Amino acid sequence: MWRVASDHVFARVALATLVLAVMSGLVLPAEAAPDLPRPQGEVVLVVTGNIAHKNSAAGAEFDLAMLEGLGTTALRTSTPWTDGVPMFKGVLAREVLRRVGARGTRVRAIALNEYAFEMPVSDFDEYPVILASEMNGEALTARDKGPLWIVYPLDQIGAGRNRSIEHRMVWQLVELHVR
Amino acid sequence: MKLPRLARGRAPFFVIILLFGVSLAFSFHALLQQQLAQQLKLSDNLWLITQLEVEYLRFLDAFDRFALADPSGEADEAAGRRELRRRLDVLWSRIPLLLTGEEGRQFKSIVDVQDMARDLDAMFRVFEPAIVNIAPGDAEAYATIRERLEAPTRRIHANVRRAFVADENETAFRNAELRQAYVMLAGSLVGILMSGSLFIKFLTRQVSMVKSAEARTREAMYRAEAANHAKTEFLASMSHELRTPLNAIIGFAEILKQEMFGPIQNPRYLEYVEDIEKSGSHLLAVISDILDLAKIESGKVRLEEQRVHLAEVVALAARIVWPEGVQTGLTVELKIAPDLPLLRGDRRLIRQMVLNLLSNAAKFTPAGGTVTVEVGMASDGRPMIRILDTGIGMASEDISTALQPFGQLAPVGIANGGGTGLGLPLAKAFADLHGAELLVDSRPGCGTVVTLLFPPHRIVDREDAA
Repeated sequence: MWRVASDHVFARVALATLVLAVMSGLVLPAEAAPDLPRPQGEVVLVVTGNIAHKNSAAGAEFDLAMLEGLGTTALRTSTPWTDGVPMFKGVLAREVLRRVGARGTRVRAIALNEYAFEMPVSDFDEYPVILASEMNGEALTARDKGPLWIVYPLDQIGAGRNRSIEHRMVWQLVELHVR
Repeated sequence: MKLPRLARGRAPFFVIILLFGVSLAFSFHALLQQQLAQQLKLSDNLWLITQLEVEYLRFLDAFDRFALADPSGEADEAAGRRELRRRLDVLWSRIPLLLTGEEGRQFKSIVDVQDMARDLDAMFRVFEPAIVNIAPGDAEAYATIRERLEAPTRRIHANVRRAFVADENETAFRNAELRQAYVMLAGSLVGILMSGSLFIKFLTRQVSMVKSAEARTREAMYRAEAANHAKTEFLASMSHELRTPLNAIIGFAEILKQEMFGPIQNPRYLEYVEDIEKSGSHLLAVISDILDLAKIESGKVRLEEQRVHLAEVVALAARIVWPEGVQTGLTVELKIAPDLPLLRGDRRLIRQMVLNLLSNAAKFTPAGGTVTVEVGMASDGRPMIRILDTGIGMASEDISTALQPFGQLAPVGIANGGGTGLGLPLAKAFADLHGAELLVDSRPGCGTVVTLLFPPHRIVDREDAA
């Protein structure tokens, strides 16, 4: 009796292991992306830290064309630093993190003037946060919050949480560090 | 009579509720004010303008280091130029922050800040190529540009100071607002406390009002009792005082009636004398009845417990009411059961009681009627005297009136046999003293049945009697 039961348990564990192996085998190829190419133009963003795909010693470097290649999203919202309700355009932050195979839960956004702010990755799944490169159809320049500005849909989130969200809207973004 | 006052007490209650509500609203308002004051955006002015000054100085520093540096290599120069470019972009990006958006608008009220921002932007638009393209070590170009870049530093610093002053004023204003909110909060707190204590006071007053109403009722009862007592006392003493002169009146009237000291000439005087005697006797009877009642009410009557033979007492009373040989026009029947037990009781009072009941029967039964007196044992074993007449009777609702002192139903004067109106009440009182029951059953025109039932404990054992 004891022997039979033992065999039974062993068989179950083996089967479960097999199933897991097959499943992960099926999933992994889908996640794998083609190697990140080297940027051709001026580097506007580097993603560092806990990421799977890199194209330089520092991490994953992007020029504007590479970012736009990930697809752009339009976002209309007011901000405390702009007049009216501008239309922003840029790549979704979650798309960038997916492209580099980010594995962390937090992202540290670092600006040109060394200002840095850390935010949860979940923000990007919860809201359509974009790395805006255009405002009202004009490219953002370094002299005015460009070339990349993390824009949250402030109007959609609502006034109650805005104060804490505003700090996350890092402009003159140069680096995303995944932790 | 106290109730209307209690009802009127509702008005202050509503006033207090109103006060409470108002103070609650005020405290809510004050809280809201305070909340608002806290939520008022802490001014970002100071940060934005000081950052502008800091970045301006950093940029100047970067410019100096790059322009005055000894170029040691191309790579070094490129890195230095990139840093200069970075410093310029960082500085430049801070200029629109003073002009646009909600944050930039805050600077509208501070003199010169926005003009300065626009002038700086214009200046950099003109000088940007010269700045970023300057060759390291080009002293002439450096001196020209440096002089131009030096010029706004004083203006920037002056505007930082202006922003600080404006912020100070703003803070003072906000503090004043906060203080006002606190004062309002304190005021409404006091209001709540006051209305609360008022409410408690109101409640205690209501309670004490109810209590004093109770006390007044008790006092009124006590007074009524005292008054009744005083009345009884008065009646007892007055009756006594009245009896003495009345006895004199009756005595002298009798002497006159008997013409003891010589005949009276005019027979009319004799008639008057007889009236005086009759009236006096009647008055005396009334007074002694009143005296008896008063005595009973004041609790001064004590039974003189004796062995009483009911049959004897009844027979004697019947002889007094209907003397032998006097024609009354009534048929009187006495039915006395044999072997009656002796009773323990006050013989005088029982005789008085039976006398009163028999006189009532005689008085209210017209000529030709019948009065039956039964003495025996009731079916439940109680000794019983029952008097039945065929008289005028009375309605059942009048029986209780007849049992009250002076509750005589028909105004019966001296002319038709007298009566004090106290006969039945007295009989009732005497019965009560003995613990006996006096039952009156009557119907108008059908006569009256009065039953007197003594309690069984008053029966004296036959052997005891022997």
